[in-house]
Amino acid sequence: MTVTPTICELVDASIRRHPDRPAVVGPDGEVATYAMLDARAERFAAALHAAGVRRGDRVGVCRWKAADTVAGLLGIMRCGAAYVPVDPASPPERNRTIFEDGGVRAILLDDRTAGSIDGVPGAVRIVEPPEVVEGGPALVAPAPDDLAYILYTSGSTGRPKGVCLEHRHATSFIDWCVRTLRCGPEDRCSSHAPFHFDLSILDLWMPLASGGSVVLIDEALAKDPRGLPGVIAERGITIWYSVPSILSLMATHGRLDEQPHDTLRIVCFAGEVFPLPGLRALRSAWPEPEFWNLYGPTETNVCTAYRLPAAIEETRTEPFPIGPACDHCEIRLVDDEGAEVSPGTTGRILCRGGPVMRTYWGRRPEEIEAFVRLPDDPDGAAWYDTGDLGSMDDAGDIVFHGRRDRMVKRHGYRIELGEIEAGLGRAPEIAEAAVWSEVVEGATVIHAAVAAVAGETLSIIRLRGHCGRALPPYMAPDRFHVMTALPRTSTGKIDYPALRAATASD
Amino acid sequence: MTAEEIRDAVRVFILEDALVGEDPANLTDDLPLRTSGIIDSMGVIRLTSFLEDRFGIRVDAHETGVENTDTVNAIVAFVASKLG
Repeated sequence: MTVTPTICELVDASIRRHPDRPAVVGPDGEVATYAMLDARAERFAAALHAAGVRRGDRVGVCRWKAADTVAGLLGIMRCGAAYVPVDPASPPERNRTIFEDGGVRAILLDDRTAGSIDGVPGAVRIVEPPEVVEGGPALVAPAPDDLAYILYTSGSTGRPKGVCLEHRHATSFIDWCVRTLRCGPEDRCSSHAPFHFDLSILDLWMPLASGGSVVLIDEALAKDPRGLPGVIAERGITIWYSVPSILSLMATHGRLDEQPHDTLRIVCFAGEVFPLPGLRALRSAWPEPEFWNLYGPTETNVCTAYRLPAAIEETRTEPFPIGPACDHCEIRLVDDEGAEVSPGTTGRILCRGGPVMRTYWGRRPEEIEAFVRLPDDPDGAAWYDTGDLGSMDDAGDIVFHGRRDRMVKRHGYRIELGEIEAGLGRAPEIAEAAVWSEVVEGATVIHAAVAAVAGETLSIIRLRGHCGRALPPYMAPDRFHVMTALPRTSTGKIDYPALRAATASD
Repeated sequence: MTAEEIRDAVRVFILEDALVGEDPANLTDDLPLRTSGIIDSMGVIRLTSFLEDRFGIRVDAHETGVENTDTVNAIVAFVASKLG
């Protein structure tokens, strides 16, 4: 099986084959054909080229979902540059930090975001690309090992870190998706995740590589379990992909019995564990489609996949396994010394092969602790240590056992609790903050204990306002606990067990 | 049900759901709840379920926007209009 080397080549092949088929359906229902997508991408590429963007550069993207945003991403890659998408709903300060860290040469904005980002040194702002002059510039297409995109995820020190993916990493994954989900020109695939989230790689590039359509769901509707079933019905979605939490909410609040779902043939979810009660409710409302649980951190994209049985046994009490390794990568479970663990024993989940990232932006791969070599293969390719724990069951599927560190998942987003602590610490009235999480009925609940600087009184209303300015919405703590001082261990570290105990009855 | 009874129930829900530890007096009737980040997208879903269960109304997808949910006053007016 040959893997086509760049995202651009995959999409270009669809453009040549299906110029008049719908490529992108906008949130308002407006359809862009492949020929239209091609022309718009060319305009963005020409504008970026005129702004000095060349192969190897990075271009920031702070745009809401629209067919033109997809064209912009394609235009960036046609210049040989990598796209760096941020969340338009995140605080502008965080987005500016990301663009400065990535050293972006240009930033694509839209009418709604144009006022939010300014003053990124060396970056040209582009809102509406001008008409392409005759012929257009001579673009240098990317090579398979050029960066296609950098996705910034939560960093434990409070600064987001950029996961660098090359075209060949993306296309090895896209190739797997197209084959496994049998995606073709008749498919209409949901784009539920925002573009800075790694689920968007499947959402966008799998259908566009297969001549199918991407159906964009705008950011407000994406959070509305009552509105989404209507989108599936009206747009005739055939492949759905999202985090489990919104599917759970659709099952409990979405009145699924009032909307047809007969076009839906595949439902994929990833990003967090799907708690069984919600999964059962969804399965009984939607018994026909295939259900796939996909697993993988941003650094590897999807690396294991599990197809759920048609019926969920009454006796099952545990979540389903995350499955075996996909055929475009290798997975190994090892102990702390790097020796492979026996079946049934919990070990670290390592991955290497096709989809694994090059590095974090600004770091050399050999500086990254998560890239490890194993004692039985010291000269072989490095493995990426996901930080997740798992064990192999009797059927050869991996059972997920959570994290080793302070990273948690909420609504599929990975969150370093340290980033929340750093964000809270920027409030002038907060002397110190400690953040921890617990899982309640399958959902992550984030707690923050805060102590005020002398002479200040902390108000929950003001703390929530501060979170809105300092943190992405999904990082805002659910519960605040105001304390006079945080408990510390004898070595001066925050005493988290004591904190949990002291706040348990709040 | 009077507007004051609706208001009391809505206030108790918001204080218990999003503002545990806050002085209830600071939850004024015109305090922005959505645009200030006090009620996030998950909070809206919980609020909507609460309103349906507590008042026996049906809330549709297009009715959960800021215009009906950003302040205690707006929520009370919305519920009252549903109850007729």
